[in-house]
Amino acid sequence: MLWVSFFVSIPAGAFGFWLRNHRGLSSVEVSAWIALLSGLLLPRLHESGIFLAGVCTCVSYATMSSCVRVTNQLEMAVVSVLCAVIVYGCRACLVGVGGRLGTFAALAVLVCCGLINVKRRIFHGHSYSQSSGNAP
Amino acid sequence: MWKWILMAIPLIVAALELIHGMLGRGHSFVIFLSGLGLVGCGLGFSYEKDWRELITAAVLGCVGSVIVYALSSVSNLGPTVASGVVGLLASKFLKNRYSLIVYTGAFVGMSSPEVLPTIWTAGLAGLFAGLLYEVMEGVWEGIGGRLGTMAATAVIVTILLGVGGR
Repeated sequence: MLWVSFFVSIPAGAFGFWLRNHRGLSSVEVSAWIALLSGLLLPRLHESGIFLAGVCTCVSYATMSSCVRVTNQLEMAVVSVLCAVIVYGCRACLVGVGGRLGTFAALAVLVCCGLINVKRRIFHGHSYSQSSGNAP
Repeated sequence: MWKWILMAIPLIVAALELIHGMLGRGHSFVIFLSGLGLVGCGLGFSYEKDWRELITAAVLGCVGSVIVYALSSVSNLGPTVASGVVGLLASKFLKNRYSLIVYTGAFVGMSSPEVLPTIWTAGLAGLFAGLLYEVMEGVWEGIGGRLGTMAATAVIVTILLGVGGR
């Protein structure tokens, strides 16, 4: 089920990123469209459709990130995979609590930002804040 | 600092559920500790913006939550579709800032009836979410899922107050 979820989460993330950065849709519109489409289509297309719709919805919340946090499609793909892993691994956590998928999305984006920061520190010797122009 | 502690509550609760399998009111202990941190760090809290904005945010959060809760429980649309519909309508008819608040409330409305048993409790949690949105300005800025985390915090606080289920 986890592997299948990658096949929906990565396209959902790429689609959301494209809508947000190239079609000029607001973050709420992008997220709502992905949530709506995945919630309507996936349960009818796959036996684990409800879980996959949850993964897509989680990714849709991650696509609400600003272009400073998630800068390109590759980072969005990493966030999408992280979302799928977290939703799968934490399926027994916060059950029934509204905002659960958003919390997982935030965790995925924070982990991705952390990984990018570590990578930049190791390979380029400077921090995330410096690269995003916030350095003093 | 106190804002970060507040935002971290859902993550702490999720981590505890993952490690210890704690359920429902068992979270109270964690939240009590977080509350102590809040009191310690938030003694200097002051709200400097317009109070009308705070009230507007609370009302919008409440409205978003109630509509999604009603749509998902009464019309059998399901929480995901219901929140999508409300998000699209909010982005169509409201300013961006207000649509974000309604969407935060919509996340609260996605709670199951086991967690928020009545529409009134959903409305109360939505109200908290709206307040949080207004107060938490600048925390986790640009992080996708920030609104959902606020919503989860609001729901957990509602459960802690003894209004919610579980």
